[in-house]
Amino acid sequence: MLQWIHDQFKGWSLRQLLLQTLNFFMIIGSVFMLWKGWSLFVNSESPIVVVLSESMEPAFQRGDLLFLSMPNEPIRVGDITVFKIKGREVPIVHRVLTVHDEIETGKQYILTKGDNNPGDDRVLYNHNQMWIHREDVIGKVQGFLPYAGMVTIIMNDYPQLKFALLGVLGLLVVFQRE
Amino acid sequence: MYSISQRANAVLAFLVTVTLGFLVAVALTSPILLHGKGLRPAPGQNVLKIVDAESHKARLAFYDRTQNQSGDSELAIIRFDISADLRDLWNWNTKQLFVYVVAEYETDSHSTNQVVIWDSIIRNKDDALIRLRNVKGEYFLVDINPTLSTVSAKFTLHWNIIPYVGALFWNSGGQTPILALPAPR
Repeated sequence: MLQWIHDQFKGWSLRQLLLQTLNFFMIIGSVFMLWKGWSLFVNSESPIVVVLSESMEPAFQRGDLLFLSMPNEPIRVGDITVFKIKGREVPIVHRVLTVHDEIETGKQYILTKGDNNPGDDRVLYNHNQMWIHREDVIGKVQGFLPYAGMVTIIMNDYPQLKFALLGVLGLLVVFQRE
Repeated sequence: MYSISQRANAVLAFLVTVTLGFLVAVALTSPILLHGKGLRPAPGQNVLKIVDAESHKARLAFYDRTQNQSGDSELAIIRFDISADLRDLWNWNTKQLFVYVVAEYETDSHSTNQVVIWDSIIRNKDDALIRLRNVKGEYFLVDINPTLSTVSAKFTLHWNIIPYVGALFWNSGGQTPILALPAPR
């Protein structure tokens, strides 16, 4: 392996090597900028999420891709929201069942439920938590692309695959000569 | 010049482009096909008609007790008729309709309150013709405050169109007149 890498670089000038490295970082930089730019545009910290659970079936299945945006208007009943419960990493995609807008504080009291779940989400929230609020919501589901997130799920289940794929792609970028 | 990997790469790139192009085209037809389409009410019938509302006082396991120390709260059970034809919303990019009945009201402390009392998942065109009599609300009508008897609510039928690919759409119709909820028995 090391010998092979050595052979590949043989005969490269320093200039070529630097240019290739720059090319590599340009690609990573552009992807990152696109992601962050899109995130700003739709006002959501993670504008694209992959469905991980079966709680919204048959609308959304495991591996489907959802496009989010944070609306300027208040959250309303029937909106499919992606929200985070404090102290937990993985966000939840569920529909809003109840909403109460408090006049004094302007705060929204939101209760959610998965379409495929028998009861509301108070069993999922933290102990004694009755409502979620707008600040817990990452975004509202606006668009849908089936299956496209399956790759992420497979790579999450088999992390070795992720590193293998990233490694091969990285090598390809470095060694591709125009 | 043309190695196998280059050819494979070209074919794969072409396939991905064609597939994505097709999916974008399908997604773009949705707003066109849905333009001007909506709820078709049956002639001479209300889309939504409240048949009965009854209130009770109860202790709800998951009720917000920070608002009410005793734990007792008023809840209402609503019975209603639905007569709605949503078959027009069905086209080749309609995967599912999510239909729900919403109670909406104002209180002194909260400017907008929306509570879903019934919902249904519709997966084919024939089922999008909804004719239901004396349906009992699936969910209790419970406010964030313990009292409900001072509340006057109106009820509306809402629907959400979930596509095979593309944007989701929301709309509503068939609002009932304002109904004063009865005092608990």
